Amino acid sequence: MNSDAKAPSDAPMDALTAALERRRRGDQNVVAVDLPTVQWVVFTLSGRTFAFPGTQVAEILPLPPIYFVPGCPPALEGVIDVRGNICSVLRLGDLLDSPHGPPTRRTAILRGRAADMESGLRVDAVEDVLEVAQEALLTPPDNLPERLQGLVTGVFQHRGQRVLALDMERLFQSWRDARL
Amino acid sequence: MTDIDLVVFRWNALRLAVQACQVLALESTLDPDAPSIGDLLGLPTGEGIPGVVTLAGPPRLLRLAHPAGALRVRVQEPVVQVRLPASAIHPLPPLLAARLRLPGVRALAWQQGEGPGALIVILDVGDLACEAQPAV
Repeated sequence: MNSDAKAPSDAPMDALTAALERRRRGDQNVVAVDLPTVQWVVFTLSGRTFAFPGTQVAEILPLPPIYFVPGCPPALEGVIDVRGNICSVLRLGDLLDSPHGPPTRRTAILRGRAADMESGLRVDAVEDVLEVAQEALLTPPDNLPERLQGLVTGVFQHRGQRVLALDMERLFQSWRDARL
Repeated sequence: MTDIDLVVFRWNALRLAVQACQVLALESTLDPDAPSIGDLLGLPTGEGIPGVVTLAGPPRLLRLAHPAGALRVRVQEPVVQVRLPASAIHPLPPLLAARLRLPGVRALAWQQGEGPGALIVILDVGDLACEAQPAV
């Protein structure tokens, strides 16, 4: 039919045709969305996944020799030599009621800094260091164990796992004030 | 850089030290009535490094200059004087200092060139509990 033989340029295009046409021309408008993100250091403790903000982790160290200091609570494992300086080491699993697994080659020390405090924190394994959009950080659930309440600032998903976001300053203050 | 003279001694597996200027004498004669450094620090008998079995060294008696008078304390050998650079001596990490129950701990130090156990706990004699002891 004559009407079928009409040139495409003469007919109004539906949305799909228009989109396909733009793809063919390669001129689709890509809108760059620059979402604010936060860097997180994701780690595990007895199978549970947690994270600290990257700004609060100065470095990640393989498990070094830890030197015992008498008179400390058991959760303070001792001190380590960090390039000639002394850094305390806390057993983070003990603080969060997530008992540590046996040491492996993935066991690590996170050297954390918050406010005017610094300490190493023993973790079972560091899983990732990643950027997460701020809007992906959800409010902590109400049913958190009592020990975690006040320490968890939010929750996000990573590789299908629920990650509990922790605040190191709150953790250090709780330890310093003997609330942990 | 300033060097610090210390007298380092053992208590079980622990390496403890005081400033050399606070040591009046080292005595080989034993006084069973003198408190041990473990007693003064409130360490349970035999406390050492968990999981590390160490033989107690032969006992010695240190006479220390305490503000309340001479303080005689039983320690274990080896008792040695060492000179450490100030850079090897560190204040207590803040989160350790906040929860440390041991009296008189002033600083920590690394003694370079040593194997495991190179950590030295530096004590302040003035902060150790001192009961009046007869002058010797």
